[in-house]
Parts: sequence; C-alpha cells; structure tokens
Amino acid sequence: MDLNLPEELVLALKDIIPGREPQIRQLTSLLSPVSGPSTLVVHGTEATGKSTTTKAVLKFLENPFAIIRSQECVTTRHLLERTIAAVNKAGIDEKAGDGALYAANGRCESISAFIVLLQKTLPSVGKFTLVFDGIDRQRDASPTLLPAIARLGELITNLSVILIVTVPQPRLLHRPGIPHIRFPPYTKAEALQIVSLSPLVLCPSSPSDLIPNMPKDEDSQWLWSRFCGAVWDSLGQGAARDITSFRSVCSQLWKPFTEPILKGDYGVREFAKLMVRNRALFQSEAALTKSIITPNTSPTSSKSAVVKALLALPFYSAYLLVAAYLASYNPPRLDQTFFTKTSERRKRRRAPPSTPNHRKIKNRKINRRLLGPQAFVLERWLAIFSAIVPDGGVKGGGADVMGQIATLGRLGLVTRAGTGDGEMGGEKWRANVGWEVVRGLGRAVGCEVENYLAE
Amino acid sequence: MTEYESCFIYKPGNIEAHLSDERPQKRRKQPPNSNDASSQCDKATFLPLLAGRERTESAQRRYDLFEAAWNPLDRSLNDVLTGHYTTIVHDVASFVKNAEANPNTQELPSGLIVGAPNVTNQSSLTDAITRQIRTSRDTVVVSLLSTQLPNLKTALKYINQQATSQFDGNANTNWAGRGQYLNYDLQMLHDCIQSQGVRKVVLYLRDTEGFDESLLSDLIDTFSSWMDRIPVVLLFGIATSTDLFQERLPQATLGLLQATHFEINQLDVNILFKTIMTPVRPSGLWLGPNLSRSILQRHKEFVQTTNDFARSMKYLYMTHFFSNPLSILTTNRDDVGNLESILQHEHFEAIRTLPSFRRYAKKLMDDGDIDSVRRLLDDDRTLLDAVRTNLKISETSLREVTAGIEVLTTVQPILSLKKNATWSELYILAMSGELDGSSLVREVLLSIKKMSSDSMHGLITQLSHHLPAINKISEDLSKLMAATADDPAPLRSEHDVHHNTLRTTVVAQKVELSKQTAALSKQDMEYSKIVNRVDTVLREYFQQSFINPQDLFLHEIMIYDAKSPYRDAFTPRPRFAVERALSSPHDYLGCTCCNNARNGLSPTQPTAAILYQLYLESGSQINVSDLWSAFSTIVAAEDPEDEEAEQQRNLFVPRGDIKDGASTNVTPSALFSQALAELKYMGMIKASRKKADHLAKLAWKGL
Repeated sequence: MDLNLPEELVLALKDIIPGREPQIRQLTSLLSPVSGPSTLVVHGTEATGKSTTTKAVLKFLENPFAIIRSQECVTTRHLLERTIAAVNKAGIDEKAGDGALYAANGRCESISAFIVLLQKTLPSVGKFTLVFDGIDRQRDASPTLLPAIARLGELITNLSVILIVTVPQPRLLHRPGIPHIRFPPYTKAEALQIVSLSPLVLCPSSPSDLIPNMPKDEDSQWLWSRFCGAVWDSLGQGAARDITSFRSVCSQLWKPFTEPILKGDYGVREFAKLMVRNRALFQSEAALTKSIITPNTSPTSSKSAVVKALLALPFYSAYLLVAAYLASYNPPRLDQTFFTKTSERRKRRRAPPSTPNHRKIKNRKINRRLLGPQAFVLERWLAIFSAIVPDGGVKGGGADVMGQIATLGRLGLVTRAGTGDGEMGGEKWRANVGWEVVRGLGRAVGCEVENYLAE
Repeated sequence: MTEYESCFIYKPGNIEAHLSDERPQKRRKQPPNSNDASSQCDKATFLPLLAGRERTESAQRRYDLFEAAWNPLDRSLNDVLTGHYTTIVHDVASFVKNAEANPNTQELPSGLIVGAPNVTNQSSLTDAITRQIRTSRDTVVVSLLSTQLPNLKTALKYINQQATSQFDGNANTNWAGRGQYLNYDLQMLHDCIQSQGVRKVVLYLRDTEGFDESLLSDLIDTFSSWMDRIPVVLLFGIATSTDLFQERLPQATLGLLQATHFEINQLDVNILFKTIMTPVRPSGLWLGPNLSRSILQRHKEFVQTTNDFARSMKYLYMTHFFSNPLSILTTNRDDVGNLESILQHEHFEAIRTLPSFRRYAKKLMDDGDIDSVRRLLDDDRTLLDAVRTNLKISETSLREVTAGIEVLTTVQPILSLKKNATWSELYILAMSGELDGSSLVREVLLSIKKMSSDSMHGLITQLSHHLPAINKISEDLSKLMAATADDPAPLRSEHDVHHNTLRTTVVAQKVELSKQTAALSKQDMEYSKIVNRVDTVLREYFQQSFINPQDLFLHEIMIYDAKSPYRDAFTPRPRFAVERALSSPHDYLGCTCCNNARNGLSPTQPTAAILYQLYLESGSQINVSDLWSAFSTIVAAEDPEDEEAEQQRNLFVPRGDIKDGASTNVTPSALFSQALAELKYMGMIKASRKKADHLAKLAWKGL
C-alpha cells in the first residue's frame, strides 16, 4: 500500500497549526485519495484545533470537500438541505461548466431522500469529502441521524465522511471499526507557542514619539511570552486550559500588567520586578469569571451596580419581591412565627419515649438557600407581603399590586411555577433572584430581610 | 339535535356557491386598521348632561374644548420625552455605526440598553433608536419582541422576513418568496445583505427579560457562527440590570458577547407634571392639590411609566370636560364671545348652585349689596356678565400662582437651603392655599436677607425675568457694586451673621455672653437698604400670588380635584368588592330586611353570603358537617318575619329547582349545596386531601 505521505504537507502545516503534528499525519494518511475508510471520527474537547486542522489538511490535499457546521443548522432538515447546497457549491466550483446539472435544488426532508439526492448531486468521479462539524450538538436530531450519516460512505462509494465531535460515546454510531483521531488538550509548551503567534503589543495605538524609550518589537514579544508562561502557571493550567479561555485571560491581564512600563516605572526586560509588583493579578481569580462588560466601560464594581440598578424598583415592587423571596425560601410551617404579630408558641408535641429500639432519625439539615427556590401560591405571597409592608400600606388584590406582580413576572424576577385550577389566588410562583439582590433591595426600602428568614 | 333523532342531515343553503370556489380563502392576520379607529374617534362626542337637557352643541363644545386643552399638552409631553432621550439615542446609534466584530475572538459586538424597570416605557425610546439607526442606508434593523418569538426557528424566520422585506421594494427581489432556502435559513439573509450591500444587521431585543434563556443563548450561538458572513450587532433592551442579565446566560454564551453599556435615566415625573401644569398655551384647567398628590404618590410607589402618566392625565382632563357641564365656560379657546348663544337656563341654575357662587353672593350681602345679589339670582344676563369678568380674574390669579411657584423654584437653588422643594410639591402646597406664610417661604425670605452682594446680584438677574418690579433695584445694586468695586470683599447686609459677634465678659466670676452687632459701614448700610427693598418686593409678590385658589369665584370650573374617578378607573379593587359583597351584602343590595343585621348573620341574606361569613370564621380545614349545622341553624331559624326571609331566599334560587305542586319552601340542604357550589365556583374552597369530609380554605379575606 502506497501511503505516499507528502512530507512537505506536514512541514507546511506544522508551523500554522502547532502541536498537532501526529494528528495531521493521521488525517493525511486516512484521507489519501487512493484508499482510506469511508467514515472517520475526529474528536477532542473544545478549542483543540479539530476544525482548523481538518480544513487545512483537506485544502492541502486538493480533494473537493464541503464543511457543514451543525451550529448553523436549526433542524435536521436544515442540516440536510445545507449539506446538499454545500455539495452543489463545491461541485460547481470544481467544474464551472456543469453548473446547470447541479442547480436542481430540491427539498430534502428525510435522511433517505437525502441519500438519493446526494447520489444525484455528487460528481461521479473523484473522491468527495463531507465534514460534519459538531454533529453531536445538532439541534432536534433524531437518534438515527448519526448512525445514518456514518453509513453514507458505504452507500456512496466515492464519498468519505468526517464527523467532528466533542466526546466519542461508545455507541454513538452503532458501527464498529471506524477510525477515531483524538485531539488531546494542548500541553503548556504548545499552548504558549500558539498564544505567542498572536502577541499583544505593549502600547497599542500610541505613536513612538509619545514614549521616549519606545520598546522594540522583539522586547515586547519576549515579555508577552514570559507573561503568558506566568499566566499559564498561575491560572491557566488550573482553570483555563483551552486556548480560547487562556487567550482571553491573557488579554484581560495584559493591560494592567504592562501599565507600570507605560508609566515608565520599569523597563521592558525587568520581568521579575513586574511580576513582584503585579502578583495580586495572578492571585485573584477575577479574570476567570466571564463578564460581557469590558471593565473600562463600567468603572463601578459589579455588586454596587446591581443594587443601584434595582433601587429603581418602586417602593411596593421592592416589597413584593422581598415577599416572594421569603415565600420561596421559608418553609410554610414557620410563617406563623415570622409573620404574625402575636405569634403563639405552638404546643410542642411530647416526644415519644426514646428507647434503644426507636432510633432517632437524624435530622439532616441543609441550608434552605442551597435548595433552590420553592414554589408558593399567590395567596401566601400576598399574605407575606401585607405582613411585611409598613403600616398603612396598600392591601393586595387591587389593580396596582396585581399589575406589579405581572410586571415582576415579565421581568423574570419571579417565575410562574404552575396555574391554579381556577382557585382564587391559586397560581404558583417562584422567586428568581439571589440573596444579595434581595438583601440590597430590602435595605433600600427599609426592610431587614434577615429578620424574617429562617435559618 | 334533539334526543329522539339518531342523526341529522346537514343541508347547506347554497351548494352551487360552495362548489364554485374551490378553496376556502385563508384567513390572514391583518394589522388593525388605524384609520378606522381614528375616524370613529372624530365622531365621538360627550353625552348631554344637566339631566339630559343639555343641548348637543354644548356637549360637542365640551368635547372640542377637551381636545383643544389636551392636544397641545400631548405634543409638549412628547417633546419633553424626545428631548430627554436624545443623547442616549445618539450614543446607541454611533455605537452601532462604529461596532466592528473582532475576528480573533468570536465576540459579537452588543449594546446593553439598561433602563428603568418598566417594559412599555421603552416603546417610544426603542422607536426613536430604530428610526435613528435606520437613517444610515447600509444598516438593517430588526426589532424583536419576546412574545413574537417562542423558539429559535420562529425567531430566525422572523429575522429573515423582517430584514429581507426592507428590500422587497427595489429591484423586484422577493427574498422570502424564492423558495430556494428554508425560511429560517440564515443563508437567505446572507444572500440578501450581500446583494444589497448592507454593512450591518442590527438585532434589537426589546424586552430581553421576556426571552427564554435557552432561546437567547441559541440565538447568540447561531449568529456568532455566522459572524464571518453576517455582520450582526445585537442590542439588548434590559429593564433590570446588567448583572441579572449576565447571571441568566451560560458562561459559554457570555464568552460570545462583547458588550457596551448604556444607561437610561428615568425621566423625573415632576418635570412631566410641570410641563402639563404650565403649558405654553393655557389650557384653562388646573389640577387640585388632593388629586395631584395622589397621582404623584402613586407614581412613586408603583411602576408607572411616563406613558401611563400621560394617559392618566389625559383621562383626568377628559373626565373634567365629560362630567362638568359648566366646563363650556373654560376659556382655552378664543371664541368666548358667543357664550350667550350656547348657554341655556340650566347652565345658569347650575352656576347658582356652586359653593363658590354662594360664597360670592354672601360676600356681596355682607357688603350690603343686596340688589346685585337679587339680580344675580334672577337675571341670567347679569349673572353671565359677572361670570365673564370673574372668570378672567380667577384665571389670571391662578396663572399667577404658577408664576409664583416658578419664582420660588428659581430662587431656591441660588440660596443654600437645607432641602429644595420640587415644583410639584410647591404646586400642591400652593393649590391648597398653604404656601403663603408657610415655613418654606419664610425660610426663603430669611436667607435672601442674609445674602451677600455678589450672590444677590445673581439672584436679581435671575428674578428680573419674572419680576419687572425688581429692575430698578437691580440698577441701584449695580451702581453700588461699581462704587465698591475695588474692595474684594462682598457687601453684607445688616441681617448677616457676620456682623454679629458673641462677646464674653467675665463679671464677678460669671461668664456672660452677649450678642453685639458691629457697626455697619456706609456701603453696607446702602446694601442693607437694597436687601430690604428686595425682601419687600418679594414678600408682596408672594402674598399676591399665593392666594387660596379655593376662595376664587368659579374655581370649580378651573380646578379639577375629584379623586374618585381616577381611583375607580386606574386602581380598581375587584377582590375587595367581591369580599365586601359577600361579607356584608347589605352594602350592595340595599334592602330593608338585612338592615337590622348589619354586622351579623341573618336568614334574609343570600345563602352564599351566609356561608361565606361562616367560612371566614373557620380555620384552614373546614368540617363540612359543622358548617352544615351552623348554616342550617341560621337558615331554618324560626323567626316572626320568616316569611320575608322566605321570599328573599326564593329570589336567589332558580325557579327550576322548585317542583310543581310542592311547597315553595326550599329545604336548607338544597340551599346549602347551592351556596357551597357557589363558593367553589368562586375558587374559595376545594375538597381537602388531608382529612375526610373536610374542605380546604383557599382564600383569606383582606389580602
């Protein structure tokens, strides 16, 4: 068997896609035009270069191919029709004159119709490669879709199929003997090499005359690679192992890290001093929690922003939300002790004589806040509301309060948990806000939520 | 179909007609035709008042007056709103213009528009933003509402439709009609924007909270995978806060967004209120203190949007013109001249019953002018003349009240007072006649007396716009200041604390404190004179303007202060009404038989009401047998006036229940079952699962 590994291919791709050399070799050999399996599974966790490598290899091999990303397909039918369209397009590009032949663009509602249509559409000579990217995450996929796609190559001779999936489950394809290529997570050296390919510059937009001793490019690059190594050791290897999150952590920390250089306190090569000065950056985990707001746009800290924004809730809405939280997190049997003005001590039941036979069942206590919100009926909500509202407040049941309840529901601060069957105040609700928010809100309107909350 | 027929034959009336058209026409959703509604509104008019004797022309005139009073206000309210939102609209538009996707990071540029926690208020804002963005040619805006989009498929379909339909007009390209792609395939959008040269597609999610979390993340996911082909900018309208929004989305989705934050400041309701109360063109109507207070209070305590506020104001204006026949005297239109032709005798009778007319007449009597009172009572023409002159006077003085408030609000920020009262607070005080001589005005006057010359100068320039009388003083002050220009220290008046020193003297081993006023320099004396003049002018001015509006003759025509129509229309309390009807039915029935048992049970009451009162006394689990015995003792009570109760009860029992020939005496057990069924129907009880033969109580009174 003539594998005929083009060594130049590996050499060419090695620099573009670092750290994936064995995978490139495997792919090339398996995808060689002469022979090779009809179906191939490429798997690996997120951001390990599966799609990039596959695409690059296919491009290099100069076989006609089409890539279909399941992420873009809403239904199975959508996936199939997009596949046909993509095959069409690849075929037309291949032989421009035959465009009319493949223009017949048909509907394709099931997998059987798909196979027929595919047979018609595919160019009769030469090997064609179909890549299903992320097929395991296809929306609305029937359980037979994947096995059927895995067998496409058996039915159509000159077709080979590559399935790119995250985790290869053992019985995913219902067919043994399919070669799998694993893309393992990058090691430290590989990750650093990749991140160093696109270094951030020291001072992005400032012209060189602004800073007198403008650092040279190689200095900046040197600093970037050292910095990335430090980030990997401190945060990356534990919490941001994949390339995308590692890169985002690096780019987030880069600006505060290099600030002393721009100020002129340190030179570019004084990495050790910079590390000591900025050690707090690598100790805190703030960079790991994702936030869509870039820090420079919102100078205030996030916690105060929540409270401040929620302060805009009108007076009684705030009380309603607090009441909803209490109803969700307090057990109903304790309502009497918390919310009645003259709470009578309930008569304690006499405990049964404890004999060695009657083992006491241990009370397993879990903090109710950890259990998640419980559903409660509207009647209870209104009762708690009128109990905690300051004297002379409004009564529930009026249009104002009911309107507030509807608004809170629409804002997603409380969610509906079920409808009462025509009972008065029977529909169920559930609070959908966290403790911090409720406490802040309660304080803003003068209500200490802790006083009413069961431990 | 009756019970003896086993089947029935359907005979369509016109078979030919049915056969002729092969397919029944599909019903299409049509947008509500706005023209129809408005044309109906044009014809609308008010009902004739004065016990139906009012002429239709008068009713029509009241309607016209209402329109003339409200429409300019509506416009100015809109102007205020648009002016308020201008900056944010421009910010968002420029953000959209400059937004560029970062090819390295797969992050979609997105703007978070965080507003006050109400949903509908944003509609005017969102429209403005959409309009502003649409002005640039190469941008497509699709605005999404959560109610329209239950799932991803529908959402994408909707986006495709909306985006491509904007180009349907030119170059006969009907993208949706081509059938080349599935209608939720974004390839369609891609082709469309490529051929039309669109550089940005803006998706505006108006109410982000309403969207399902999974739909949101699916949508973001899909568009981020299309990012290299479709340049999408997302705009999120957020009513709560950015952090709550972030908490709802999964981390993976958050990584796909790169957001910029826009904060909308809620428009202060005081500004809106002031806009309405001080219109450019006088509307001839003022709101009374009680009503204003309750409206503003309600606005503060509950979510009430600016639109709601405008709506309730409109309702109040309409109620005034709808329900007050004398509102035709309102002078917001120029054609006051032909009043004689419109007014009829009933109008004059109505004027004579007004409390303010009585007060007016009494005052004339006290002055000894009995003849004119007689003439006012007898002669309609004399009354009309009096009304005319007095209306003008009253209106002018009301306008002076608002002008006086304006002066107060201009003066307040210049002085360093502990707390500046808002315009509406001052208005409420002024309209209830409490502003003149109030501690607030006194404090203002006192601190003016203590002002130094340089701040006084600023004050006088501010005031000169409102008070012409102060111009003379202003000249004098300028002269005085020019004379002392070489002295850097400002002049101080005699009332200033700077001139008082505390002196301690020790006399016979006792410390004595004594206040001593330092001798004033000549300039200071001069200045003190000026200060005193300013004080007098202002004091007189305030005294003149802040009259008690309730003392004005015909104030009923110009001041609307009825709270109950507003309360009934905007804050109904259905639950309270049901509970009250059941617990004390006499309040609604008004019958004589239940009168003596106002607070208790009586057999004459409707059975559901009796049962409800028993129900209120019980706990959360109700024993049916106990309930029945209590019920039967009340209903079957042997009373001398039992007959009456009997009749009453029969009223509430359907006739069908009483069999022919049987006595009309319905058994208590039937009544009990009926009452129980009624309570169940109202959703107050259900069968308990905890105990046999028990009912669970579901509703508590007074919640």
